[in-house]
Amino acid sequence: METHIQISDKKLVREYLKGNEACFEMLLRRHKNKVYSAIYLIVQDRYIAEDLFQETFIKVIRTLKSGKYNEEGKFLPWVLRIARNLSIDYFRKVQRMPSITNSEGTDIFSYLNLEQENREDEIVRKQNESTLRDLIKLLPEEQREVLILRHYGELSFKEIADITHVSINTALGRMRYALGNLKKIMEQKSINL
Amino acid sequence: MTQTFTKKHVLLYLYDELEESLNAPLLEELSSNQKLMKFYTETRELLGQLDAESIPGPSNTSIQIILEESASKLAASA
Repeated sequence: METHIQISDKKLVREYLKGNEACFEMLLRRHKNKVYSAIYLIVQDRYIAEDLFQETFIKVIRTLKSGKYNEEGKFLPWVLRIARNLSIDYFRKVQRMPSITNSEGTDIFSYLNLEQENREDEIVRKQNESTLRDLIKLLPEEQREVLILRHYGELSFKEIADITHVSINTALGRMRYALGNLKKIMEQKSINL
Repeated sequence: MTQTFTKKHVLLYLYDELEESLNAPLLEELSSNQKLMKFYTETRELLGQLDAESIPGPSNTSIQIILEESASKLAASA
């Protein structure tokens, strides 16, 4: 009997569509960390990442069940494309939130940040920002995206180029700049700390 | 015609995506091209550090919610 390691994603999808629930569970468990990592590194919030992770796979289930899944495409790149689109939609939604101003014209949400950071909090914040994961946040969006999809999502540069609608040359260029900028940020952090 | 290797070739090589026939010529280029070799060693080190970063996985609650959704869809379609 084939173990789940040997069964391809394609076959697991086919069996799932025939009614084998265990096959979907295998797919989910096989790819959950890559999908979650990609979302988490984009949205940078654990709770939002959990919600988007659930939304991603619920969309996967609905699309599979509706018969709209294109079998010629690879499963993981397809799921990561959904995850990426949902993450981008989340950001657009957050950006559209209207600001609420008081009678003096000040955005009331700005009051949330007015509390002076004391020295201890500053040290803790800097310590927390010193992990590589946190430094990835500082990269420009396009570079961060390629880095996340290649290194943590394990998509090929060709797949990334397709998902992000650029040439493979551009995807490679963005990756090169991402790594170069990450190195610079790390060096700067070492000097400041 | 001789192949010109760039940093993009090195990136493809590090991710095992370089055309197989170019692997040996690239390694030969690295042995004589200091600038490219420096990029290779620094990038390899950085990628190793990225590997060492542990990213949390999804919670079991999320997994269960998804599996329940799948089972309910399965039941509905049965």
